[in-house]
Amino acid sequence: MALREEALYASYRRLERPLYNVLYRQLWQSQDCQDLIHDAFMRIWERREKVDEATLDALAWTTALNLARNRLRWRKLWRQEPLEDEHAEPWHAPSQSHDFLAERRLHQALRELPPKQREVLLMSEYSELKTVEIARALGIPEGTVASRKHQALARLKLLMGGSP
Amino acid sequence: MSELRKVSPERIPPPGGLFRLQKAIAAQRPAGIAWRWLATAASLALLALLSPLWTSLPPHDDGIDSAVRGALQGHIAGEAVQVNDGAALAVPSGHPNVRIYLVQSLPSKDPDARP
Repeated sequence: MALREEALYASYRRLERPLYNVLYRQLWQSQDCQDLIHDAFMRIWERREKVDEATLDALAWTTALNLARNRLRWRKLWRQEPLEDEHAEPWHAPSQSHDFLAERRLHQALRELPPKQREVLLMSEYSELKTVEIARALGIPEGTVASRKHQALARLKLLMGGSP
Repeated sequence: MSELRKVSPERIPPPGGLFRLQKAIAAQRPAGIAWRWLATAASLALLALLSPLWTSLPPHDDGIDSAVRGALQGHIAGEAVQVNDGAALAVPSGHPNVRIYLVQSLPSKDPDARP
C-alpha cells in the first residue's frame, strides 16, 4: 500500500526532534539539520508508491543519516567548516543553563570519533530508539550496535579527559 | 550515558519544519493536476480540429466502387463510359486530356448498408 500524506506528517512529528538532535551533534548547524530532515522526508514522499508505512520511521532514519553522511563527506572534501550557530536563536538554546565550554569539548571529541561509532552513540543517546530499532535503521546486527556504542563511550571518555 | 545529555542537552528544532514540508508537498500537487489538465485539453483541442475533417469525408460505398470498376473495364480512351447498376455523368474538367465523370450507383438492396 502506498504511503499516505497523513502518515508522512505523523512520522515527521514523531521524529523531527530526535532526528534533529542526532543530526545536530554531527553537523552542528541547525539550518543544515532542518534542511536534511526536510530533504529526507521529501525523498520518501517521492518514492511513496514503494514505501510501507510499517517501516516508515526506520526509512526516515536511514535516509536522514545517509544525507548527513553525504553532507559530512562534502564538507570534508571542500574543507568547509560550518559556522556554529549554537545559542544563536531563542528556540535553539537549551532551556536549562549548562556548561557551554564542556559542550564545546564534547563537540571536538565527537568529531574525533569514527563516524560509525559516533552515529550509534548519538542514536542510542538522543533517538529514543531501542537497540533493535537502531540496528534496523543502520542495517547492522544488534551486537554490532552494542559493541560500537561501548567503543565510542570508551573513546569519548578518553578524549574528554574522563569527564562524561 | 546520561552524562552526554547533561553536557549537551536536548535541543528544540527550529519552528516551521512541518509547515515547510506540507507546503513543499502541496506545491507538487497542483503542478501535477495542471499538467494532467493541460494534456487533456490538448487532446480535446486536437480532436476538435480533426473532427470536421473526419465528418467531411464521403461515406464509403461499395456500389460506387464496383460501378467505377465496371465502367473502366474494357473502356476505350476517348469514348464515354458505361455504368451498369448506376449512371455516369461527364463533368467539365477544364483540361482536354482529363475527363471527370460523376458516378452514381443504384441504391443497395441491403437495408443496413450505408448510402
